[in-house]
Amino acid sequence: MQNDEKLKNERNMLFIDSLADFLASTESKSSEEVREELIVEGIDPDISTNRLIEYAHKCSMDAKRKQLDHAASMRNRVETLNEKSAGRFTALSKEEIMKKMKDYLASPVLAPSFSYRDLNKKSREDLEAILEDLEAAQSMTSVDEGNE
Amino acid sequence: MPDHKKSERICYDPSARASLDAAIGPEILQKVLLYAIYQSKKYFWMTNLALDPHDLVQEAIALTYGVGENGGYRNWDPEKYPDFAIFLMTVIKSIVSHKIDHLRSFPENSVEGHDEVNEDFTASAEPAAKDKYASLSRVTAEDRLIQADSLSNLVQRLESMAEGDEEMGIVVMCLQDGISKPREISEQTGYDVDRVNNILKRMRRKARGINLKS
Repeated sequence: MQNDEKLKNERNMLFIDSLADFLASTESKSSEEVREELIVEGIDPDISTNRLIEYAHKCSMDAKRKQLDHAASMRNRVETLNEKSAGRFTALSKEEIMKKMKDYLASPVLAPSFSYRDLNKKSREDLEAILEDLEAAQSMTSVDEGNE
Repeated sequence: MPDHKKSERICYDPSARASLDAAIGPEILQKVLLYAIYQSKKYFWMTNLALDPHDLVQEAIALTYGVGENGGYRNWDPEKYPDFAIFLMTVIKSIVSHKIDHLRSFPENSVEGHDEVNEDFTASAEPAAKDKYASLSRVTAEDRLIQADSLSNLVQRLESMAEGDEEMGIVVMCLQDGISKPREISEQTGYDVDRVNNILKRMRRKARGINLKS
């Protein structure tokens, strides 16, 4: 009995859902016909459209601001990470730095940007800077994956 | 980003902003607004509560720009939805369905037992919180039965629009089966699309009358 009621309820909901979609249908309707329908529903198409376009513009600006804020916070995080790793490897020899770098180069995300370079030709100081960058990039990747 | 994450993006894609700016225009918004009007009517039919269609369109726009309430967002995939108006309509439909589901299922989530008399634990609450609680807990199990009953009555009234109109009666049968696109109704009934659109016009006129009676 309860199942019958449930089924009946679902059928009723399906009908109302389909009816609303059908009545709202604008397939093969010209924009003039859509405007006329809005007027019949007591809506001034021009006033409403302007209001909605203005709102969309505001959303676009908010989205841009959000994007800029996000970029700024990412920059801050990179700078903080760079500061943290600066000078960490000064005590290491060139060979030790190269060995540490190999671990990072196993990462599919970081390897492509370094794999083409002939690291043996780089000075110890250059390698130290690259290692610091690699460490920062690895940390950023981990943070991003954590966020997702 | 791994490939599976690219295809099932689980965060907002901020690069969509430029395409959204380009896609939003008066014609699309008017179609979407008309759709929102009927979604508001559906909401009213099912809940007896009003929703402003403009608010629905605005909520959908905010979500597509990734600036919805509480960080809400919807990513527009132009490959899946080449017509941006259709995408906004699906967003609006899902907003309204969510609101209806929430209202209709609330007794199941309620902290109250259905037939229990509870002590008024809101007595010492702030007036605003009290009002909110009162409005949230106004749907009881009994209300739900009345709701189902009034839904049946409403459907009967809506279906009765077709009385004395054979063509409309056939369209109503399609709607009962969940077929709602004029082109699909045309395929199903053998009526050409213009004929279906004429029936649509008649139904809109009649539905307006039903709306006033509700």
